[in-house]
Amino acid sequence: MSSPSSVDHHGKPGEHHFAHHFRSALHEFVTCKQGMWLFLVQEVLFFSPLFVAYFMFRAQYAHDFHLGALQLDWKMGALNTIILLCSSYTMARAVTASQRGEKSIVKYLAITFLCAAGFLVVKYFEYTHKIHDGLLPGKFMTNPELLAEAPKAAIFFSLYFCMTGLHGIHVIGGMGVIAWIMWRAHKGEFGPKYFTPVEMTGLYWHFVDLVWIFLFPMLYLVG
Amino acid sequence: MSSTTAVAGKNYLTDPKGIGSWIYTLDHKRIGLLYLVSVLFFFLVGGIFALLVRLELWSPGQTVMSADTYNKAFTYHGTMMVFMVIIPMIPAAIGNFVLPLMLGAKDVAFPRLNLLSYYIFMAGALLGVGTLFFKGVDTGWTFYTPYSTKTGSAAAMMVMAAFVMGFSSILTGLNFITTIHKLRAPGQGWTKLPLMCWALYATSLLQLLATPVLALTLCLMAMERVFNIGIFDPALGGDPVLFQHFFWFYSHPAVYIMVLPAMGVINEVIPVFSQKPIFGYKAMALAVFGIAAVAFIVWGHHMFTSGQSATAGFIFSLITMFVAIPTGIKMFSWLATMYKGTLRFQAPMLYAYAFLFVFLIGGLTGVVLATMAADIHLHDTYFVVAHFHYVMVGGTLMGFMAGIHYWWPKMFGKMYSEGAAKLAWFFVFMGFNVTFFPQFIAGSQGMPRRYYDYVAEFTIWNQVSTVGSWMIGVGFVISAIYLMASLVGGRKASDNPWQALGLEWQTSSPPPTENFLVDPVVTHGPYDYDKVAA
Amino acid sequence: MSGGLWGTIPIAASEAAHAWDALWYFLFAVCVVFFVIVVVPMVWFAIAYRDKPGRRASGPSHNLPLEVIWTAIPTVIVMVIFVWGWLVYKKMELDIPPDAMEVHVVAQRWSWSFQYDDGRITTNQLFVPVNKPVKLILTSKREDVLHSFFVPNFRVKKDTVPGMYTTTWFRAQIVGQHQIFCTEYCGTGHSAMLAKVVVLDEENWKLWKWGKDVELPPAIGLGSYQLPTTAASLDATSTLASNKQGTVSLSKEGEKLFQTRGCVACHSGAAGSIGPDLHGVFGHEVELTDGSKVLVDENYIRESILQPQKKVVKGYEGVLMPPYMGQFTDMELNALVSYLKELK
Repeated sequence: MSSPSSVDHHGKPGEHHFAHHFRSALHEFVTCKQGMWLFLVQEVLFFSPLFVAYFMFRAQYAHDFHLGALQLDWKMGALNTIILLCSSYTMARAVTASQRGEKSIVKYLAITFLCAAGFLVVKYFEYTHKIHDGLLPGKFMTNPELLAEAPKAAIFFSLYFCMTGLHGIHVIGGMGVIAWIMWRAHKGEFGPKYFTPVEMTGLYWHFVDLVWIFLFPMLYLVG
Repeated sequence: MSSTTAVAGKNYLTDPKGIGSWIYTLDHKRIGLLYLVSVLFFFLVGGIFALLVRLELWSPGQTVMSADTYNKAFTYHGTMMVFMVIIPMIPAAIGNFVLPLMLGAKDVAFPRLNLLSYYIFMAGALLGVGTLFFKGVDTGWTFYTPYSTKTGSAAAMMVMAAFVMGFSSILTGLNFITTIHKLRAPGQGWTKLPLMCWALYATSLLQLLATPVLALTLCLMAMERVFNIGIFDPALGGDPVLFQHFFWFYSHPAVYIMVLPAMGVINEVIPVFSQKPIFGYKAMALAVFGIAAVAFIVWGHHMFTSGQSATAGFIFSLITMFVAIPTGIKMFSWLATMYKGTLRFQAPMLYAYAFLFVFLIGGLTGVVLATMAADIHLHDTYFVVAHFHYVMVGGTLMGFMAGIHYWWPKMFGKMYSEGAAKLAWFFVFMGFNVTFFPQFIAGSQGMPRRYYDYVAEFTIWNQVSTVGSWMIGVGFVISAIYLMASLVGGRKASDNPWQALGLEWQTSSPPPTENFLVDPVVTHGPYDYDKVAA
Repeated sequence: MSGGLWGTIPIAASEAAHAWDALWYFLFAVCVVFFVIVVVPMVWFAIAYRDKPGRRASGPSHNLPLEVIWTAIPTVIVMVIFVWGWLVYKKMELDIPPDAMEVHVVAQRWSWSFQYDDGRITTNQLFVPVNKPVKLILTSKREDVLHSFFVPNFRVKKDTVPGMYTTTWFRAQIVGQHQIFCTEYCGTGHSAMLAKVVVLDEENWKLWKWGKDVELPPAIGLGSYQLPTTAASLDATSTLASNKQGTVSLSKEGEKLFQTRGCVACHSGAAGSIGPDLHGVFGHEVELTDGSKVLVDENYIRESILQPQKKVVKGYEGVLMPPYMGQFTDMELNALVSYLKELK
């Protein structure tokens, strides 16, 4: 207990040793949960300049943004929305399963992970299509029609790639974390008395999903 | 609860031993010291750049370096001092050490995250220093577009450094907020929380909410440089003034990230060295949050001449005026705390006095600059340079010096030479005023900032200022010597050398790894000097 | 005569500078009063309440009336400062006299160009008449960076932004050459980006307008500079090389561009024109396709030339005017703007 290297241990379910500076496992759990919420608040602000820039330039270049948005395939976007919504559902099931100590947690996490991968595959096809058509950010925009009719669509695609790219990085990060807790769940580390990492990952994943719920209509539909 | 029970020689400094036990330490006190050493190193480097800048300004025209070298020198001075020194100086270095102690906790809420924050900070800092080997950066610490996206320097690398260091700041803020919420000792209700903790709380909120905006903005700027995305580039239809809005949305609150913790330190020092309860505890705590809240909606006062609309300027100027109110409340409450106290002028109190004096001037000139019309003439002149040095150096650095002298016995269990400390104080305080007061005059006479060369009329003020910079240098060299000497041959400090009531003084000096051998229970307020004998 | 407060501010050489100075004295007084209010007790307490054996701390830890007072009084004072500051700002920046002479300022690394209504262009010397209002329309070259136009003696400062016009004005009151600084950091030559406002008396101004050479008036310094009381020694040798350039007025040059670059094809105002009639639109509001209104000012004209699709006037939804981004220099744009302003 006295050496700092003993800060939190993970044992079998029900044997979780909470870190030395907490009073109880519950104390540790609520503390982690608050930390995670603060992290998500920070994430919201991290995305916020992009949203501000999007609305500002959209107001300025409504015409160009409209033509730019028409180049996006709303069906692909909708498909990805459905994929992410499914993954959010399976993530929620995984959290419940871990709280109840059910084995199905590994299965649900695996489905979530596959959904995330599926999302990236769809995104990959979208991106290659855009690159092929020369629908690229700023100076790299080479699409002849748009250059002629809506030169400022270049800024639309700057924002499109920045926003979906940043979101994509969050998806990839999420996949890493999901894989990690899947491994730990497989080893049977989680149960009714200790499921903090699963719950935190769940919160994070719902946030990633939520960002997409905003991005999809903004980029694909409203334009 | 007295710490005389502490086993001799067993404290956080000596147990466990070995380099590895420091590199991988999860102990908040050791992480605090790691920050302290790193920050002081960068302070030395940033200070050398400052001396070079002042030396070049000794006379008009070229004195010792070319214009391009000068531009890099002031950029490094600014960037290092802001991102690597003043922002982490009090929260990350001193705050890490004292916060859990003041709360009666064993550690911060997330010790691993705390260590990770430190390494993120170091990674960012080294990336920043690394730009020196890639042609350097000459954008100024503000990275204004489109200059920063056009100049042929390592600006992208430098903004990525600031980006990375930003995450250290965010995570530290997150950690502290959670710590304050969840890890207070039994009995320590919100009204028994030391004001230093309130200040760190408000600071952490600013770090958590403002830094991400800067992080993403700098990211966009780097993208602009590398991929020409056009968001800030007028040639592609973007808006360079948008960058200024985003930048100051962070960097104005950042000013309070720097100064609020210093106010926190002063809140601790003045009651202890007056042996009196702090005057107006609740108003003090509220004032800190008042300042923090207003901090988010005043960024446009950096842009009165930028071409933003007069309406925007009107609103920003009006709101900025309200920063003066809580600041004034704090100032007067500190005075009232000292009224009829028993004042002891040891080093921490001397620095607290220096803080009051210097911050007063910084604050008053802040009101001058918030006045729209006045700012038209003063904007981007040396008046602004003098003002923000009075606030950031005068505020933060004096607060830091007060804090480090106050908690030094607790950190290392050793006392420093009080005489040497007074001598250094004299040089730092006098040198500071000699350096920066003439800049108010040069500025109001019209000398623009970031000038390598200047018209002959400004020579006298620049020379006085340069002499002052040497005095500050001497002051810090003396400080470094006697503080280091105290580690080797200093008198052993008692557990509570200042007769303070804070929880951190109830454990041994230096504290054991676990902070408290017996979990503390709080029965009185942190400033109840009228009720409890310390 | 020298600058106020023992020369710590420059000579007030423009109309607005006097208003600014009055505000400055007030601010200075407020600062001094508050400085005394805080520092005198600091010193007094340090002497009177020093820790001595046998002395015990007493004194209050709160006092509501006192706290209310030191919250309320500063609030009132800062509000006074704010209102006064706004009024002076309005005078300095917004209340531009309608009869002001207009000069276009184009900043680039690291020099200033001034474009007058008679088509003349000068570099690093801005010629203005004394006691006449002068409106400046400022911008940076399109591929350039931010700069800021600063005349300490006039208390005038305005950033120049590429791709955007900013405006300010002054009425110079002292004949002489006044220092212009760049106050927005712009790289290597930032501190060398100097220029002068040359304020001419009525007689010399007329000469200059007629294209005659004039002798430069004396340089007026900054800060503790003393204005000579006797007739100043003149820099007799410097004459103005640039003076003979002006052949075509700025608006005439704009008209030429309007005719030769094809604008007139759609904007002639004749019946059946493709584009909107531009006669007399300047200074008026027009309705856009989305129903909102926009004031036709310098910035809107410039924007509509460079990016016509950004704000299309109602009734011209389907008309696709090609963007002229990159086809006019900044100087040519200024000429076009000047022409369209005069098109009645």
